[in-house]
Amino acid sequence: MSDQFCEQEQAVIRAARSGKWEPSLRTHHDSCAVCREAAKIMTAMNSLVLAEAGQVPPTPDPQRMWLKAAFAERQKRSAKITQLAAFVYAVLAAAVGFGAYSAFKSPFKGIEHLVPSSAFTTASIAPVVVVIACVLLVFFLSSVPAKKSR
Amino acid sequence: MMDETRFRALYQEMYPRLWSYVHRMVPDRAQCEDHVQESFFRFLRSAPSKLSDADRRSYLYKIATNLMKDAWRGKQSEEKWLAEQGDDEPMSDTASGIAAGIDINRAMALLSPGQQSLVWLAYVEGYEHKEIADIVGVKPTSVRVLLMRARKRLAEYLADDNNQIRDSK
Repeated sequence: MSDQFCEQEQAVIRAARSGKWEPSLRTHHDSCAVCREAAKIMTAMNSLVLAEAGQVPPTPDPQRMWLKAAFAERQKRSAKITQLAAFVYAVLAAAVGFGAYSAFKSPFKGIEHLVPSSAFTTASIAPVVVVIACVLLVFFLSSVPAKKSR
Repeated sequence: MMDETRFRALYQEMYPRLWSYVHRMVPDRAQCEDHVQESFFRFLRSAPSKLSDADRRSYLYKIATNLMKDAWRGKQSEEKWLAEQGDDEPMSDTASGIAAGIDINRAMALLSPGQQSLVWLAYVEGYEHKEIADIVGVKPTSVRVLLMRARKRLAEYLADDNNQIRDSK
């Protein structure tokens, strides 16, 4: 035990708060300057709380807070669903794009040399463009409800 | 999100306590009100649903403390949140308020907002050092040291105050 810390300090505070003192703790309190200080401050703080009790405004209706949080929660959930749906759209669009590219390419099997190579290049870019467009759409759709919820 | 009935009970119980806690560091009543409401709102949005009642209370204090720290950070450096204040610091609005027997109110105004927060959590709410460390976001050993300094400061002030009262009689 030093003149700055005491292992019993928290037990003394608890006892002073509840008014339930073990005889040994009471004896310790009387002989320990740190614990006497702690108990004194605890008592003073409680008198402060009692004195200031009148300043506390009446408790507002919790219903408003509850509804506000429930609404925000619902918006968050719907934003998540929108994001998920948009992701699914993006995947589907990419699949459609690749399918379209394959469908475009298959009739030319064996006669590729007759088709200008730039046509294949353009066709191969198409799914990428579709995917980028879908990703942009995802961000747009998912950001709309989030902005409204603020 | 926790169920409405439990939230109502917690709100009724904790609103005055949280208000008193926040008001100590945020004397402006409108700002204090905002902090308390925001604390409850964030609590509802982010608190895990399987917390015990005691954990819910300390979670609320944690949110409120973080909100006050954030507001404080906007104005001053975070170190000052827990730093000691000078004796010549002006008294806050609350400090010049009610005199409750021994003027602990004035003594509290000598402490930084962070120290006031520690003292409140330890002596009014009765939290252990570990719990306070979790709420305030510092190590338990730091809480012990910071509380010791705050306790010494308050005790010195209260002793001086008592001496002055005795001398004036």
